[in-house]
Amino acid sequence: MILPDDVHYFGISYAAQVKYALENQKSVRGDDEALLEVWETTAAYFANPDNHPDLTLKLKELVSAYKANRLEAFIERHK
Amino acid sequence: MFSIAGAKAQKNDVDYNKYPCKDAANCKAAEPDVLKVATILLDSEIDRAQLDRLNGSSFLLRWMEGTPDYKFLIDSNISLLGGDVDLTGIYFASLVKYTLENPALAEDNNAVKLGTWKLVANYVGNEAYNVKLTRKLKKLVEANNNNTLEKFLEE
Repeated sequence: MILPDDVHYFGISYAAQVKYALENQKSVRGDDEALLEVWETTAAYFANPDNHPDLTLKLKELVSAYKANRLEAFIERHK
Repeated sequence: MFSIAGAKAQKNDVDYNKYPCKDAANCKAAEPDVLKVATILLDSEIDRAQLDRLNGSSFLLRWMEGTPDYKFLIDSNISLLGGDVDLTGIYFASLVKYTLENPALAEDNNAVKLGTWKLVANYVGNEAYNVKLTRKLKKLVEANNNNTLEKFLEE
């Protein structure tokens, strides 16, 4: 699992899901492109030092993949 | 307000603003309404009144993050839901409902995990709630129907 099991971390992912749903008037519903967009929003949050994220090893990998434009492959590996 | 699928569904008249969940007493006071919202989410179609459902799910998350009385863990099977906000809301509702209805088991992570996913599987497997089943969700429902859910969740 990419995110730690703590509900506080998961709140960021959920916020990204809500953002996608409200902006696109639809949920992810198995759409890989939509899921990638959700992960981009999530990764962008954790990549922003202004948010003072407490990064686990796996979250550091997520941020690295995001910054290197390798997020799609990273997500695919963790499905 | 929520669209109601089940005959026993309650009306959602919860005022979320009453519960900022910033302190223990407020979180405790919220519990009956938290359970009510979770029950309503689990007793109504997934594809109706999405904004109401999002508000309800967000309230549940706020409470889970705020309450000092329970520690909620998100298990790795969450990936079965594919990052879908509506299904994630069902997971939150199931996690909250199982925990509040079984307080003696709240610290038994395996019991909470199994009970939560049983509720999720019952919801997504009920045609009345209009959930479009992905391959993974079909397997979840099959495992629940075959009484092999615990093994399935460990795979």
